[in-house]
Parts: sequence; structure tokens; C-alpha cells
Amino acid sequence: MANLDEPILAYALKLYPRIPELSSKLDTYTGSAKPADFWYTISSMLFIDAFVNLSAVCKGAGVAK
Amino acid sequence: MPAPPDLRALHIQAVVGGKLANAISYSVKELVNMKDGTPLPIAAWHGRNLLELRIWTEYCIKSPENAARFAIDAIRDLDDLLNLITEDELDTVTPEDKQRFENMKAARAELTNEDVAPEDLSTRYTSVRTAARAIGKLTYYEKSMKVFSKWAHPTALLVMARMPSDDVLNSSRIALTRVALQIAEEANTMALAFGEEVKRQLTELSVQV
Repeated sequence: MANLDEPILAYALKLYPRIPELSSKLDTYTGSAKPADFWYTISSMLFIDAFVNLSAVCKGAGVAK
Repeated sequence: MPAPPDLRALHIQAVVGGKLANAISYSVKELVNMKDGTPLPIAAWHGRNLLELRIWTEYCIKSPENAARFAIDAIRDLDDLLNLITEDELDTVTPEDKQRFENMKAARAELTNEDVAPEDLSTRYTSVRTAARAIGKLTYYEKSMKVFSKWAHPTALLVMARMPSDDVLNSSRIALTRVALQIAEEANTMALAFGEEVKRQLTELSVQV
């Protein structure tokens, strides 16, 4: 899997601390070389945020429960 | 070291699910921002899109294999477009259109076998109808699709019907919008639950310390 572009990575890195258990695991990789599972995890977090955004959009539209 | 297979499977579901969520968000925003006088076919078109996106969301959440199938269909779409235009035809288009085509070709060339294995492309597209059947929503899909489609494109009914008053058009648009937003909410409920499940699984599957 290709590494994420720098701006996307910077954004993604802001997301995972929302899950403390995950954060404590990923923070163990402090060097610049990261294993593939790090990138898969970060990239997955990036897209989970889309679900949260959708929920906000639906609430804004008055349809979310 | 490659990522664990489970993490890769979860990743493809998160990526596809997230992109579906973005597409749903777009149509919801467009619907709620419509003003009186917006043509009915535009509301119907967004409603139809939301219906398809809702089906794909449930289908792709159901399994990583389904999500991978949907992702591979995106490559098929791109290949279809690239194969449509011959080199001779390319010589007749504007430099801007030629550049657009070259950009698409470059994007396709960047995809590796890790993104899509050549053998995956030999199978056929998954239709939204097939996906609806796979999740037990075929009747729901067909009925809803029929209603939206009657107004989303120039059916004989739309062309031949006497032009209704503005009030009737607006109330019809609002009725279609209400149904469409309900469909979006169904997708949203599934997506939110799936997001929580992904977070739980990511915590389990990611870096083992």
C-alpha cells in the first residue's frame, strides 16, 4: 500500500487519538519508517471520519435520529 | 512486513464505506439546499442516487469481499472509458480533452497488482440489482427505483404529462426529497454502526505491542 500524501497523513494522524487504545499502540512507532499495518490503520481511520461527517450532515438535514 | 490479511480486508471496507458516505453526504446537502422552483428531475436524480448508495452501503458493509467487488468495478469503469477512445479519435479532440484522457491513463497506470489483480477484472460488473438481491432488498430497491426513475430522466410520462402548477411541482419535489432523506438516514445508521465496528476491530488488529 502506498503511503499517504503528507497533508492527508497530517489529517489522519489527528483522527486516531480519538481511540485511546489504538492511539497507545500506534504511538509506539515513532520512527519515520512505519510498517504496513500502521498505514492500513491510519488510512482506515481516515475513512471512518466520513461516517461521522455523514451523521452530522443527516442531523443538519433533520433526518438523523 | 505486509499487513495482516484481516487488517487489509477491514481497510477495503473502511475505504469503500467512507467513500460511499461522502457520496451520500453530497446528495443530502444538495437536496436540503434546493429552493422552490428546483426542477423535479434534479430531486429525483439525487433520490435515485441515494437509493443506490444505500444499497451499496449495506452490501459493502456485509463483507470485505463485497466491498472489494465494488472497488474493482471502479477500475472496470475506468477501463471502459479508456477503451472507448481509439488513438485516431484522440487526434481529433482538443488538447484539453486529450490531456484529460492522458491523466486518466496515468491514474490507471499507477494502480498496481496490489490494488487490483488482473484476474479480478475478468469477471462481470456487480449490478446494483444484484447487490440489492444479495442483501434481501430487491423488492424495496425495484419499487423505489421505479418511482425515482419516472421523474429523474425524460420518461414518456415526464415528457407527455401536462405541466403541473408550481405548487404541485414543489410539493412533489418535497415529497420525493422526504423519501430520499429517509433512505439516506437508513444508510447513515448502518454507516455509523459500521464505523464503530471498524474502530473496535482496528484496535484489535492493528500494531501488536
